[in-house]
Amino acid sequence: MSQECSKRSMFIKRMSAAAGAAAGTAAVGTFFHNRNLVPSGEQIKTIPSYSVPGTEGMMAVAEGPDPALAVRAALQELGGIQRFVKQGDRVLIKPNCAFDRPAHFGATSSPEVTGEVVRQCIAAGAQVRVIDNPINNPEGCFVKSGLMDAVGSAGGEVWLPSASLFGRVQVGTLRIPDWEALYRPLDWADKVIGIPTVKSHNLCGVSLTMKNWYGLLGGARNRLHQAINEVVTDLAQFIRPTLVVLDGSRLLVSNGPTGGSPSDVRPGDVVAVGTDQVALDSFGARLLGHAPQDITYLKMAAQMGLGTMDESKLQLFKKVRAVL
Amino acid sequence: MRTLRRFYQVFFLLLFIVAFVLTAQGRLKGYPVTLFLDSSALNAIGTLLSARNIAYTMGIGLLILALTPFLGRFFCGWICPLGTLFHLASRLLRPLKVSERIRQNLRSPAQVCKYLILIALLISAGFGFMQVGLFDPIALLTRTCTALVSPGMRAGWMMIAIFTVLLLLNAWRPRFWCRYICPLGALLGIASKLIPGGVVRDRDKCTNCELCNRDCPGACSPSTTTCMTECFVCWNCIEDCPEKALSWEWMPEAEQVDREVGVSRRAFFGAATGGVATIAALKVQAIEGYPERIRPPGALAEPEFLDRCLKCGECMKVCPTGVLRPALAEAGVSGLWTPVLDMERGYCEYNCVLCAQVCPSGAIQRLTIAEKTGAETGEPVKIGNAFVDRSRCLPWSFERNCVVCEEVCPVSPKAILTDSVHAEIDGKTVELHQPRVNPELCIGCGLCQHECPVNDLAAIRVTAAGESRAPGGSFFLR
Repeated sequence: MSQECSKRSMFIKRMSAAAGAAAGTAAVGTFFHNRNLVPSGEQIKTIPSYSVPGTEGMMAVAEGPDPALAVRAALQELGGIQRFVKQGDRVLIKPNCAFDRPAHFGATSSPEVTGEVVRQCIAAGAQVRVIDNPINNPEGCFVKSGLMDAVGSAGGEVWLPSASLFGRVQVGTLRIPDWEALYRPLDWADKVIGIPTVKSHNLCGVSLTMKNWYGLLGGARNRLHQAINEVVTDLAQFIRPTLVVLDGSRLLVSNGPTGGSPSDVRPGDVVAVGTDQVALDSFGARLLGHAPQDITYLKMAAQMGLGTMDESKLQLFKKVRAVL
Repeated sequence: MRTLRRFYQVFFLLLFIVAFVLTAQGRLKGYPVTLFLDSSALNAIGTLLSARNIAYTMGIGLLILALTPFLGRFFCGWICPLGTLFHLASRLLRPLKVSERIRQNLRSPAQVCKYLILIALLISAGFGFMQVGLFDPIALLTRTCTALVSPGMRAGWMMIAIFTVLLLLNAWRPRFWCRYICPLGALLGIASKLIPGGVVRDRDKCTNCELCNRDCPGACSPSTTTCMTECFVCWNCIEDCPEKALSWEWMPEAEQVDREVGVSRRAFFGAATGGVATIAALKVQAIEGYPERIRPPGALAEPEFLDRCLKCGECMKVCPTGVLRPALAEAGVSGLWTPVLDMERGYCEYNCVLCAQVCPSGAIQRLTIAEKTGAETGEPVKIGNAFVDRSRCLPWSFERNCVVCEEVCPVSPKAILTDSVHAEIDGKTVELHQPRVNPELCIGCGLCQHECPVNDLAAIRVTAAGESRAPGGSFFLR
């Protein structure tokens, strides 16, 4: 009798275990199943304009041998950094740190200018992070260009790019409607400041403000060169910055955008600060001996109304000597 | 004694890990990160035999070898980080029954295998076929760690698989590697033939309980006559003896300890012939004719490079772009797991000589950034040359502008030039920039190949042709 009973209970136990396992498998399958064999596209995000209302069409040029002094003098002409950066703002700074080179090779933004901009923002009560997605190893670029030290000692923080920082973001209207970009930093920021250098470029003539935003992109960006002028114009639509500090302390006049020899570099002794990317880049192109009209992407950007190539059409244009 | 030994073992294992972690860009600040590779006497003796001279840092290994006749195989028992890991694995995988543990630790004739491996390795190294690094415990551990922290490194899975098997073999015999395979252990074993002291058994006190074998890592048979060439000088047996029948004695009687390594004349000549035969079988290969054998900057000319490379993977660990990876077939049989550059994975950073800084053997010679880039002499180190594959190149074959290769080329003036041609596209005249390489300027860094938008097989590729390390490496008539 007891034998019978234990057999039955054994049977029931085993059957319920089997049923439980089957139900569990089914539940796991239901949870993970996906009929769409083609993964659904990633959502395309948008980023806002970072420009401060009422500061459009401004530009100030300061000439002088001390780059930090020139930054301060030019900012003074526009009403000081306080006009652009407020207490508690989160400021994202994008220097050109594309290459693994010491600063005197002119391939990267100078530590003096970048450091001074960081210091100004910190003094205005902002939190500052500096980012770039370079061609070479990011840490190596920031260390060897001197930007790591300059940013750190000015009280800012270098944000090295990693896969999790990227997302698909809406860019421009001409060629790349959307692209992989450093979305999380851009989303974090209240204000964006560009610090481009003044460099010749093998393919599009000059590399300045608009081209500098290329360092915010990721993905297969080596394909962008196939339509470089359209893409650079798209980048000017992509980032509407709070402020741009064009670092002309050194000019990379040949073998751009990488340089590699001190003989490729000329002293520039000038810093231009402003909000009109086209005007700043036209100024930069002239520094390198190009007429702005000859730079295809500048012409395209001006035609699209993204800015003016003519300084006299700006709301405010100042030129000063920055000497003690 | 146990506690003290464990303290040393943990300390040196942690030191190894710290040194490994410091082997990275930004952390390498002149620390002696190759300390453990330098302390392997096997690496020192092997390199001495193949290259006829060694880096002075490898003197640490010779020092340890010189101390071994006095202290025995203290390196195996107290220092070796691989030994410590295997010790730990043996401990975790050990059987529950004490009798089973005793049985596992009985001395086995197979322990002679490591001596035969050592003989074959050293003899072939003496004839210029240097494979010591394949079997060196520190090199093995270092490259396994490198493979573990470098996801996607080709051939990395082999190293991890080998290590896993060796780890699991500890369940069958504790410290399997150390007892049967490790040629460094064998070398130190031969050195400890001269040891003046030894573990001596008092036959009157001994009850033949064999508890002394229970935790004997070296399987040196303290229950009969202790074999001092197998002993790790841990003193476990002395502590474990319930009758206090075992003791350490300086200058014991000759028959009280065993100092033999157990290699018969026949076995010695067998191993030696085996070593020579491997050379005969594997040296029959050309030094030329490996286009993908692109060596790091500072690498010696190929024969000298192979005489020294320990295949330890330090260069691969420190490389900031991850371009260095272990060779499979790219460098021939004797070049297995030596570093080659894979431009699909990375590229050689222009202002960087980290691999040369960490190479323990001098296979990659120390050089400064100025020496590498030729800043002063105008003669940079050239590791290869880039070649444009016009059939795949966009401006050459598909009437599209691109020249990413020219943009990223790090040398000045650029080694990639462009010729302008005009093409008719959709009724519009377009100026196309078609790239070509100036081999006088190209250093073979591979950044162009790495950045080329043509995926799976770039339209510009570097091969080792024209590398400056080999005399007469240029393919031009001078």
